[in-house]
Amino acid sequence: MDTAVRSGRTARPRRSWFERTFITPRAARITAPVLFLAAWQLIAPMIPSAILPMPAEVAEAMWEQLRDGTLVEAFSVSLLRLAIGFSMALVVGSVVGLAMGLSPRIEAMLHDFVVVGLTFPYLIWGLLVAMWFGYGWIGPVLVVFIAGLPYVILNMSEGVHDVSKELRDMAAAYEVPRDRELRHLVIPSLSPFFFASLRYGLANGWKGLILAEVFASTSGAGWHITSMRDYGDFAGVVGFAIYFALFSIVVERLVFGRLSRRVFRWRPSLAREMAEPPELTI
Amino acid sequence: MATVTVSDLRKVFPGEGRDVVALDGVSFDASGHTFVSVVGPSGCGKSTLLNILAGVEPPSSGRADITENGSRARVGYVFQAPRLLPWRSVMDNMLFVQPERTDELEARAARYLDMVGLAEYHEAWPAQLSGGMQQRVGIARAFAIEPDALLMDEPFSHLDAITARGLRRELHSMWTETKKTVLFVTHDVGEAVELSDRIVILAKGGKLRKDLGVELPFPRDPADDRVALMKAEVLREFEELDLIAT
Amino acid sequence: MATQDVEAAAPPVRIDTEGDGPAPERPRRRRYLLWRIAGYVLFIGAWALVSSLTEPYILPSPLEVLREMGEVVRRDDFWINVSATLRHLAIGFTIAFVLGTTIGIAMGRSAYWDAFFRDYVMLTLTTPGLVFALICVMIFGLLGIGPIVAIVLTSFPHITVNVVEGVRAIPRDLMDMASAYGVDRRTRIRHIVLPAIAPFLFTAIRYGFAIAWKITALTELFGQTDGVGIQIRVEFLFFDIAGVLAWAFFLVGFALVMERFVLQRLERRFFRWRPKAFA
Repeated sequence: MDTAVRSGRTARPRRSWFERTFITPRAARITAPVLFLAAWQLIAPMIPSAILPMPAEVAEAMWEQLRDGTLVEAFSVSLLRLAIGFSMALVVGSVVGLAMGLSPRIEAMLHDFVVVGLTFPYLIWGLLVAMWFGYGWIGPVLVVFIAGLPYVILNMSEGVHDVSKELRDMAAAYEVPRDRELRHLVIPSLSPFFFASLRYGLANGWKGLILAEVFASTSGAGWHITSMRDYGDFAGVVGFAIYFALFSIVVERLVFGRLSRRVFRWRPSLAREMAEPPELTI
Repeated sequence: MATVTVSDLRKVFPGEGRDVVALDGVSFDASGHTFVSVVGPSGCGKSTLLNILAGVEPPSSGRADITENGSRARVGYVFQAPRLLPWRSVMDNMLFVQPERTDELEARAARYLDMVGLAEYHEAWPAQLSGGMQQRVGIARAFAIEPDALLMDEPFSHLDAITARGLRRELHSMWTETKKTVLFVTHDVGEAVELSDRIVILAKGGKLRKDLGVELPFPRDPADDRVALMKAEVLREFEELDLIAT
Repeated sequence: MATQDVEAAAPPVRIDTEGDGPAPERPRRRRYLLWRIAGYVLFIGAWALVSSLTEPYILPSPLEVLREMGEVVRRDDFWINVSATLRHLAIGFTIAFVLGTTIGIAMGRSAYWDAFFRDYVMLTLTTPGLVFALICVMIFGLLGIGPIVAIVLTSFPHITVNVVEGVRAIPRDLMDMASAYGVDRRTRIRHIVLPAIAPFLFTAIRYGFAIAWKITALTELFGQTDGVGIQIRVEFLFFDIAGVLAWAFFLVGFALVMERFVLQRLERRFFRWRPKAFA
């Protein structure tokens, strides 16, 4: 007796050993980068190597960047700038976002500027801070602040709108004291939005920062990758790009993935994915 | 002894363009060990009445309050949806509405949870419970503050008939045991006749239509002739209302 | 008597259901119009004030930027560059849309393809655009298609994630209903699948587009092909802050016009069947 008979559908052909081993979602996550590398290896020789370096050259460059400390130095400078700029954005953005959520007047006043803030290209901010502040720390940190701010504001004000009126009425009917309402009702209800602020704010602060470093500083990951290109070290550029990609995978999977599982453990299917971002009007 | 006083109560919601009258000059009293059902069609302001009595919304004019020996009474409120904090455990939800967090109150909350058959679910998240079980938590929460009066807003309307029937029986026995004043909003006439000793009928536009006493012995079997007759009488009242409304 | 009419005329005011009460306090456009205007006045006032306190080349006044915008438009190469950028954008975004939708459908329907593309999609969403711009300029710059490749690579993941969401949102119950009635595949796709994923497609276009035009300018700037990116670079090299601001307002204005007047209009036409509350 096969399952196909019972379900009344057409019988599924038995999967071969090959299919069972390689055509699985788990295998796909490895197959994808392997295929990518293979294609690169095949295509690269057809193009002058000054333009597209071979995987081996890139691997060597990556090893060199790791060994001589360039990588650690560049990323640690950038991460410090990110931390400074984004903490400011988090504080200011939360205050402004909460105010916008609570007062329709403040919301009417600031809404359009937040939308423009979301739209404004980081390239322009990078150029402007370079012209205003020259090379250094002020420019890049300021761009992180500016890039992260609208995401924090928008998410926090959405969060205030999202606090359930039904639950607040329930608390009022039972005369629950304000501090307890804040702790058990308002803050947990805001936390997915705060989380989304962190995630999108940090991601965009990072993007803004990397761009700002190109024009407004002589250190950091963004400046490094650009200067390697200016010196014609193409293997170095590609290697650094791969480090960027690895970095974002690590942050997404390890940091945010873990954090969200912890914070949202009360959710029904234990929504392993992140809290849905509220729709942004871009 | 809790006393519910509603006199010339009026509630108007400012709408886009035109105002919406939810309650229009409603007056009635209830006190002591009584179970009053408020029935009426959708949109007649039944829930608004409870919200005003619970102090969630202010009245536009008139008066509505619940007192216990002259001072403001402690009120339990069971809503149409369970209204549980999804991010807190069942027990923490029970304690959320308690005046303070003491071992004694925790034991009391546990006792009421056991009473509604949730002894094994104290530490569960609300989302892990079925709709009926969530509603039981809502009912236990209302009883656990040992209120002077109990407000219930169509608490069984989202549940299946069998679950609702079981919960109605439990509610009835809890009411008999605790001798509370209960104000029960519903659009289910059968439910009102089965449970209450008084039925207040509201019409569309929030006017009080009728105040009926139900003097039948408990438990009331829906198949019983007298219960069926009473139900028919209330339904007739509604049909007349319908004729007026349409 | 009036109350009965209200019942019929204004059904959205639900007084007697859970989640009751009058509509929640959302900013009513008209009511807070004055505050909105106040916001603009304050902003422009603050800008003018700061600009009058500093050297004019540090922060040009709003009027100067406006004048500069007029000047930029009158330049000979303005339309050449704008049309080059629009060409990059149109070609790149079309390819990205086709690619993103195809991959999105595959990912939504099969766990295998989902796992295959997931990492790539995720890392593209979070890796800075600069990295893509540099690599594309390096590899494809000489061919003059750097900007196009960069647009495709960076904006298709935004389209993909939304399409995946859309495919997963296809209502199972309606599909089951259709198969119970023996509705054929074509009718099912036309009347259930497409309406269900259409809103997600719109979001996909909006997000994808928001990324696409930014990466276009960026790649043009680094690649030194034609396009507005080059113009911005020139303004920067000449330390012309008014010029950079002028271009910034052109770009933002273009994006907002596309968003508000093109995409949102289209969306509204498309979703006439939806109740107003969701609009």
